[in-house]
Amino acid sequence: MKSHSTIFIAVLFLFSCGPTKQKEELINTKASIPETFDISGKNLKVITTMLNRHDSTTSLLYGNEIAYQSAMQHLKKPSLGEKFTLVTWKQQCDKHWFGANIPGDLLAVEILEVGNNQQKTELHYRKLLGKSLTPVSDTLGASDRVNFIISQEASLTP
Amino acid sequence: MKKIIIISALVLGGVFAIMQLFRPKIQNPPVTHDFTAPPQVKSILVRACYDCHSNETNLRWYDQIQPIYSTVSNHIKDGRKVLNFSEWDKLAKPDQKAKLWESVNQIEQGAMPIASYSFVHQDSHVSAQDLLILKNYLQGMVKRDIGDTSKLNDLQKQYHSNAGSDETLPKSLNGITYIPDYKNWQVISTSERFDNGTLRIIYGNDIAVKAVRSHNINPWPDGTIFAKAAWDELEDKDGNVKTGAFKQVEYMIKDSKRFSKTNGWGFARFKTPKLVPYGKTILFTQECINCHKPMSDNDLVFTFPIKN
Repeated sequence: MKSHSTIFIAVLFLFSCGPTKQKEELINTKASIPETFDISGKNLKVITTMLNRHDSTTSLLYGNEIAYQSAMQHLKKPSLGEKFTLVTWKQQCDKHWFGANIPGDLLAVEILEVGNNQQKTELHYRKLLGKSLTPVSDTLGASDRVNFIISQEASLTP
Repeated sequence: MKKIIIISALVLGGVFAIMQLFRPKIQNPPVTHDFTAPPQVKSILVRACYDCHSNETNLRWYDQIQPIYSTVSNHIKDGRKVLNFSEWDKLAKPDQKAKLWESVNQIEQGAMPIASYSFVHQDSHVSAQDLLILKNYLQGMVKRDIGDTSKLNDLQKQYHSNAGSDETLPKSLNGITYIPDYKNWQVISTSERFDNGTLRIIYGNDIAVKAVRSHNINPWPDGTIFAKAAWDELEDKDGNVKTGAFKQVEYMIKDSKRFSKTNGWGFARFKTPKLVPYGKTILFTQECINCHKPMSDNDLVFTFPIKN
């Protein structure tokens, strides 16, 4: 009887370990950006990607054409009309490649717009938190983040 | 009825006996430079891989019987071509490392050892414990270059070179022309490859982005194009990692008719800012297919796309 049940379990195991990839969730839903934000529809260009090893976060910096050109020229100072969007995720292991980390949970979207008021440069910084993109009212640390965004150089793309 | 069974058995027996006369010779060429690793790592690879991926093939008695013999012979021929641990010195150091990571990934994804082979050769099975040993070994090889000035210099050199200013676009041997427009596409994902110290952005054209939005990605529709760009990692002492020198851009173009011989995908890679097409002969695509094979249930795509 015992041997029968062993065989039964072995056969069950054999089938349960068959290809399961058909059902695998291939879209990275954890990292996906809510459709309501419509980042694809904003006509932004990718400036660069970066990560922070200590926080295990990875980010992608987008910009409008003016912001992209400034980052290409390494201007590192705000120019009128620039719009930046910085998306940050927690990293997760890539289940398809041991040796890679990919974006995991969406942590934040930061938006920086450079405007002017009576010929004085004005920086509008906003931070949206988490998957729900909840606006953060606390502006503590905002100037560091603005400097961080402005100081990024575009990745070299031939 | 009994007579028919006897005649059939005799005919089958005869065919079986004749088959034994046809045997392509399996040779073990000299070992020029054997792969070295700590004993526990080496023993797993010898047990699971060396029969087909070295010049030290150990044929069991049951491997000698046709038609198994022919199948095994083909496995060995193909296996040695892709990876040969006995001629390890024929690979450049970075390629050796890349081959090891690729091999362990093939094992982890269940593509290696080949199921039919490990079914017969039970001792080639790589257990979860074995896999852990292999993965720990690879993890130990990961080197982080913090504040690496040579990498910084490589980037500076690229900034100041005029490479890529030529008006004619380079073309790979399978007829794929470099597509400069990828920079204007949306992002499908990013990836940090700590196995080879690169940061990557995977761009997708409009068809790819729409396919992700509508969950129509297995298979990906014809017209889909991915461009995966890779840069050196530049890490500072605070753990901030940014993109350094441009390494390459790789394309996957879905066209089930044009690329029917390579599972519907056209592969191309252009290296350095000079955009040098990868591959010495058109057969380079076989290398692409081999590496992507573990993803055959996912239309050969590794990337988990981000919906955006």
